[in-house]
Amino acid sequence: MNAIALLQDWVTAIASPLGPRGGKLTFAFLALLMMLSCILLIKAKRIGVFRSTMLIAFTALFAGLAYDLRLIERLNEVTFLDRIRLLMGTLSFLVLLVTFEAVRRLHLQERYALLWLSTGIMLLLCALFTSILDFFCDLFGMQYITFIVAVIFTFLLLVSFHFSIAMSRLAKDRANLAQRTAQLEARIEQLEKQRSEAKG
Amino acid sequence: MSDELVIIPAFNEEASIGGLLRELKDAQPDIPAVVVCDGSSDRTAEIARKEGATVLDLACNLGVGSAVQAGFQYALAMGCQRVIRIDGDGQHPPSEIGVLLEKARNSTEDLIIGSRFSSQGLHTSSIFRFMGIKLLAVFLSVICRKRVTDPTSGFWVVKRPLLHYFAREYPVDYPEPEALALLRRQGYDFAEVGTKFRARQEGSSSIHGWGTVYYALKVSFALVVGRVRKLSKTLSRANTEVRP
Repeated sequence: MNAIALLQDWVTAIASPLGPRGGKLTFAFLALLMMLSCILLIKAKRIGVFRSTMLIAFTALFAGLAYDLRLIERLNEVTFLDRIRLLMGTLSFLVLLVTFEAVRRLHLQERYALLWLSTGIMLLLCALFTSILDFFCDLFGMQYITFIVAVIFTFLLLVSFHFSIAMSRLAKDRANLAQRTAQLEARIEQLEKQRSEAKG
Repeated sequence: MSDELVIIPAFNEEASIGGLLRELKDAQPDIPAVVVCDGSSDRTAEIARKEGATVLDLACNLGVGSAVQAGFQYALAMGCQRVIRIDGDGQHPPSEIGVLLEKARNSTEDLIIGSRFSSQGLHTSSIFRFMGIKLLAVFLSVICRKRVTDPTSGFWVVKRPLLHYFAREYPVDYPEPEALALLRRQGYDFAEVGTKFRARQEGSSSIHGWGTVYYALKVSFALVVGRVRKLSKTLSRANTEVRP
């Protein structure tokens, strides 16, 4: 039994007490609930870009399932390659969304975000245009999935190297600050000594 | 303020710093001492203050290179002409400072190095370390196009033009060999004088065990990269010589 058939079984098991149309009804109810809460939250301005996007994505998924439960079955029909592309697409969206959100909340400076953004865009391109990748796969004699791993690995290397450089710069700044404050302290000490001598 | 200054980098040297400062006062009563306390967790700074030395108390442990650099920056700001740099563990005897200063006052070189190998008093802890230092000396002599006998010696007198350069650029850890190569490239000159060294009074060398391997790798890599590094024009000998 494969993974998707298992998923299908779970959905039917959850919905079975509600009769033959129970599954559809459950998902329609869930989608409606989510859509409502989404609208309410956005209206009340209680929700950020990040969470509202996630909510809308789930709403769409549930609405799709309510329209036709066979959506899950469809997954069974697509090839493994397409499933990987689907996974890559989701992953790249997540990377882009999280980076964007972190910059928006001032948790991440733009200069450090650029490499993460290009990682996300690269993954998205890999998922969208397999034809470009076919060329590279052919060139280096790699499978599509191997190539994806290579791309991710390269970008992670770049990001960590970027961190090493940033760390070296911070260490230098730290040394400069410590040196400067030590000198200032010594000067203050001298001035205080001079002043107390002049007084006494 | 005196024209000369002794700077002593010290990391947790409470056992030896007091004696060293008293010895220094006996040997060179007119030269003030600055102890650079490199984020020590013991009473180094307190003892040094009690002995009448100025203390540069670094907020965190930066390594000997940055500690010495803090001393150079301070000396530069104070308008010193010559800075004597000795270790806090007492292996550079203050009685030998006179020999170095004599040479510094009567020569044109910017850096005078006290060398333990060009005289009789030879102190190394093992034959392995001796060979390592010799190998480094040969390599450095080739790079500097000038004979270096004791590349790891930290017993120095630095003159003002070179202070300008070192206050801005100084290697971080195990700095001495790297600094020699850099200053030569930058147009400065050094000279060695034979001096006696003492065996360490307290504590042990910071270079031991795996540290030796790291030391060898780090220094060789730094020397090679240093050869192709961009020179800083504003800090060349010709420019710093005329600065106040």
